[in-house]
Amino acid sequence: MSEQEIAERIAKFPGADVEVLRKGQIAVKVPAEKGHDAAAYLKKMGFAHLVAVEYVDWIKENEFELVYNLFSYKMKMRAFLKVRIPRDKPEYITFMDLWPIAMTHEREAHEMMGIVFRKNPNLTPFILEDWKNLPPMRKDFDSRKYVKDKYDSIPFAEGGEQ
Amino acid sequence: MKEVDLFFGPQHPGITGNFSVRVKIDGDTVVKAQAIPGFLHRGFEKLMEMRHWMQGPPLICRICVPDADHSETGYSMAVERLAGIEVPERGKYIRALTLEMSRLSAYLFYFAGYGGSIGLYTIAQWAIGDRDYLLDLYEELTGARVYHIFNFPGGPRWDTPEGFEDRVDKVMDYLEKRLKEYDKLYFNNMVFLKRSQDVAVMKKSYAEKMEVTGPNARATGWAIDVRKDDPYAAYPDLDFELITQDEGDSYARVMQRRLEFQQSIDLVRQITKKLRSMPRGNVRLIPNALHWKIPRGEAYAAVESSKGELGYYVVSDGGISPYRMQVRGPSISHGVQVYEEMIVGQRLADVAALMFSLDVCPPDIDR
Amino acid sequence: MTIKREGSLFSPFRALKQLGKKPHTVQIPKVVKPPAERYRGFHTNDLEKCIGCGNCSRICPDNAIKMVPFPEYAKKEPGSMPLRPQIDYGRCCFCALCVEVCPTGSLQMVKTFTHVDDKKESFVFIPDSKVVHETPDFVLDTKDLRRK
Repeated sequence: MSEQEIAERIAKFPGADVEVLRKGQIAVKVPAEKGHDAAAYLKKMGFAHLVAVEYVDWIKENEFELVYNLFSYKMKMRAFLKVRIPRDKPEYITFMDLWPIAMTHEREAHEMMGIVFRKNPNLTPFILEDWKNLPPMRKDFDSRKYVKDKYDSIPFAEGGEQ
Repeated sequence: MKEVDLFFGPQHPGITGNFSVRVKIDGDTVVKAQAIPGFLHRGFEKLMEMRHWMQGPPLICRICVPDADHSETGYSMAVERLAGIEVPERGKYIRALTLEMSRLSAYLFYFAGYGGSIGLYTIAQWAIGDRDYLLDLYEELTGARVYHIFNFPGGPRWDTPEGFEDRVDKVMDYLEKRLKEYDKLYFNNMVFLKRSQDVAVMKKSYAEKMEVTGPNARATGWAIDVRKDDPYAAYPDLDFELITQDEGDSYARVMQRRLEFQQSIDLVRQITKKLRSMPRGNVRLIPNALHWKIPRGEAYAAVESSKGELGYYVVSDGGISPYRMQVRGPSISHGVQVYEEMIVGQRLADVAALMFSLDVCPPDIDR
Repeated sequence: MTIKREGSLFSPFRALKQLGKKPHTVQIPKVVKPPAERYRGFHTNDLEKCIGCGNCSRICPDNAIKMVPFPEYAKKEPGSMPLRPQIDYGRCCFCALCVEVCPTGSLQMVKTFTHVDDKKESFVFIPDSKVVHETPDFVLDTKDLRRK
């Protein structure tokens, strides 16, 4: 099946904005409240595997983007299911019921971006230790300032004082 | 019996890299486990946002130490897809050559690690020693031994030196000869058989449910491979069949690597044969490294690393550096959740052995 | 694919025949293994040929290169700047991106890669056409170490 045919089939889902990115990659944008239904629809269609959950901070639009990277071994096709959630209320629902492995990916997104996934029981600290600062992958997190506060100085070669 | 909490790692010699597992044991049977990654978190994803597109590979190759070329190539491919550029034909073959050699050296590391974890130290010495012959080849081709910084967006940096293909073939002949000795010492060894058979069996349905990829999935009978499913570099032109096994225990996982080791040797031979018949020269498209802007958009590229699917999701806002770059490390599926579930019911002595048999690479969980 | 799952108690003993074989390691310091032709080691910079454009300092992913003033090269030719790169080898990752972007080809890398000193300042210097040490540069005297 070609990308176009698959894109047309996905477009039947109400509210889906489908775009063929390149060979073998399709982007599907849906409103946040329909995200879970769209994921279930895609899973039924054949995109049965969740490769990763990507998270992007679009600070100018004041939104977080969650990208569910799905793959179909039958169609040899990737689908990026994108939902956008407001930055000031970063909350979303877990996809653990569809893909159990989403637990780890969501745990990471929770720690790195501060997104709370409702009904995910395991949003415990993952990689960072004793982190009380702003989640580090947000665009307004200033790594240079953090280094200066934490280690008192930044090296001269990085633009600090001698 | 009383249950005891035990921190296994990060300083434990039997553990792969900087990783810790908190195990609850009853006698010497594990009843609960919690993987604690994060000892090697270097913030690569954030650092990439501060670097130019071309400054990526010197940093990104450090994601997984024994398998550096796959990290570089995955990133380069994602950037190429985003910029819409195509690598020259010879560049694709040289790229595939470095990838297969990287797989060979990573598998040798794997044999060494698993051998060491069950007490067969001779094999550990042998494998690390034989890996050095591959590193010599890398030194000759790329100018560095471990972090090659060779596969850039646009293609590999240099063409092969004069007579390099013959020397590669010579090392391949040597490794093939050594593989027979490995069989005697290691793969037919009673210690290895007793320690690995029917240990930590992974079912195919479980692998599918938990998105396990790579040799671990193929050892359960699930025929998946990014090289076949989403072909890249020169793989569409190469002739190889996927190897699968049905058992899915530790033994099958190790033997899977041993069989794929032979397959990789064959692949390298196919590539060198093709490289000899190709005109030399044109291997790389060189964009302006300092002011290279990439159009808005996003791209994902995955490579079949020695541990499974290693993917890069790259977002550009039209600037000279990535807006966002995220790594999908292969170990994030089989290193955290799968490992925690599979270790339950095993013996304490298998905590490290299982980690090696699954080939968990903590750096690609942490990044 | 199914593999016969059997082993032998005696097959490992066949490894004993390795005993008579030549070792794979090189006997340092009696034998020094020369690095490959493309080995990326220390830099050399032809100060006369260098135009001080600063491309190397801008491409360096580790911020290891700093352009320092060199008044004697002022106004030599149009487009040339009185600056020359100073490299901090504590930061350098030997990726050779600086060599790649050098427009005149004055900045090069040589095969020498060892430099031993107890002062950290000695790792920051301005490379010229001379290499830091001539090869074979660093010969480990094991007797010396044992005495300490």
